[in-house]
Amino acid sequence: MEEGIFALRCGKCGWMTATYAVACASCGTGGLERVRLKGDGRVLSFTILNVPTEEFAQDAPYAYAVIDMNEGCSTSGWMPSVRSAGDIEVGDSVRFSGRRGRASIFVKS
Amino acid sequence: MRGVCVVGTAMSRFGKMSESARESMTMTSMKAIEDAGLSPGDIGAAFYSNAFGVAERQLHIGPLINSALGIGDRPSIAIESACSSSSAAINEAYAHIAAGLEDICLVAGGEKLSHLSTMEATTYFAMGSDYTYEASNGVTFPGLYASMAVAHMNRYGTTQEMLASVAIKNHSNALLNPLAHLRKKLTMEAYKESPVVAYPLHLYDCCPFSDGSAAVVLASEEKARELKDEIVRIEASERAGTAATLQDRRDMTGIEGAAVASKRAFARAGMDAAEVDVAEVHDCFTIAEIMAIEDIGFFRKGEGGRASVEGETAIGGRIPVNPSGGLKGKGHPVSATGAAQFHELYEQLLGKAGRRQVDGAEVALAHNIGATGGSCTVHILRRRR
Ligand SMILES: CC(C)(COP(=O)(O)OP(=O)(O)OC[C@H]1O[C@@H](n2cnc3c(N)ncnc32)[C@H](O)[C@@H]1OP(=O)(O)O)[C@@H](O)C(=O)NCCC(=O)NCCS
Ligand SMILES: [Zn+2]
Repeated sequence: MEEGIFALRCGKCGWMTATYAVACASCGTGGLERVRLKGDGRVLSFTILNVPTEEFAQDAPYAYAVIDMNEGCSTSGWMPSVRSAGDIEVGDSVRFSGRRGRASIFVKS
Repeated sequence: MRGVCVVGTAMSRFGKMSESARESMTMTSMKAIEDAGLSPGDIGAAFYSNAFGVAERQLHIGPLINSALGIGDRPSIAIESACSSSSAAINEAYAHIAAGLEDICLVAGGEKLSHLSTMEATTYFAMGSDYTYEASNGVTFPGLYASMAVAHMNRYGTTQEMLASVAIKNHSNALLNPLAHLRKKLTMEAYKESPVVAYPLHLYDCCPFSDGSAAVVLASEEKARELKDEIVRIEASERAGTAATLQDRRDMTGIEGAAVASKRAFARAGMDAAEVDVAEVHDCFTIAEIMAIEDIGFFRKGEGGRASVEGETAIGGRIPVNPSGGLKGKGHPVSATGAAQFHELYEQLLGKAGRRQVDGAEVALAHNIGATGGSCTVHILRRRR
């Protein structure tokens, strides 16, 4: 997996997504361009997982956050260093700090 | 379009069962056919749902069930739409009958999950998310709804007590339902002491992993009038979608597809939310019921929590929601849920719901969500003479 965090951007209207897409959900244009994100954003929402899936069996508790990236799209982040609800709030500044497998690791900044 | 009616329903006891989903769905289908006053040979086509069949190492159960019903020559198809599978199947059967392709159709959904450990089941359920972008970042199904709950609490001031009130109500309704999975009174103390699964959702905010099955027989209005004195007509069968991955949505405090499907359903039925007497909604988590009653339009956006804590959704309240106990109390054998909502509402409309009867119910609404709202189905049923 290439280091860094990426998104797709519509060349026509600027709509962005950090998931998989081949056409713009806003204006319908095909051919989205891949852009590298700087990695800074804010917590839009979060949860603390105590009952994980098999892949994260050894890791709980940890936070999962939906993050509004400064470039204008949202992404999902794994926050292994945040272990309780008292350690995180909606609006907190966070940054991308690397990967484990397909997970994008975020830390508070 | 021809009118389409519900003529028979059945469900198994929800909870842990020893038989396979295929066996349970076959037995429940037979009960629904008998409830309709029909025999298997009257079924033109069958629509089945068993989203987690692979967990039992069995796919393509349609022909197995048809053969066991002695109608191996009839067409069947499996419909997968995550937790809304069997209401999507009902929508397909409805369309077949409305279009005149068939006169009588069978729909059944079922699941067997109790042989899986908590972690195995959690992993299977996570497959209903966008696995690459969501589950791969550590989130589970309860976790996705938990992040919607945090967003809702943050924007509207929804509280933990409001979430708890949904669970307490649905547990107490389930106590009145002999087929429910969890038949246990829930107190605020027990709620608060229960372990946190995914903050802010406690164990008692979550529906359980359930086994079970439910079935519905649909018929053209003409056939229904031959079979029954009083008919229950499907006034609307509407589906809509929402961006699949939570992070791609403008708003995480509601489910857009559910609001769209509800609007379309009310337009099709020529009525509004105030005319609904009883509703079964998708309360896979307590926050999901709060969002559902807002998305449908029973309450203004942000008012769902307050309405719940004030008892407006209890049996006897302004709009009784989930008298069956809902997914939370009755249980949620994923693919059985849409058909089980129909079973409850059919009994309610015919005045056969026993101690959970909503007096004089004539118009009913079913709201069923697949995954975090990627798939949404809303049905409106009405009793007619
Ligand atoms: C909450 C959850 C993690 C509990 O896992 P589990 O494997 O059922 O837990 P356990 O088997 O350890 O259950 C412990 C006890 O709590 C009870 N219990 C389990 N889940 C319960 C629930 N949701 N509500 C109330 N009681 C529950 C069990 O009956 C058991 O009681 P017992 O010891 O008296 O038999 C699991 O039920 C869950 O993830 N639910 C959500 C399912 C989901 O995501 N569905 C899709 C929604 S769209
Ligand atoms: Zn565009």
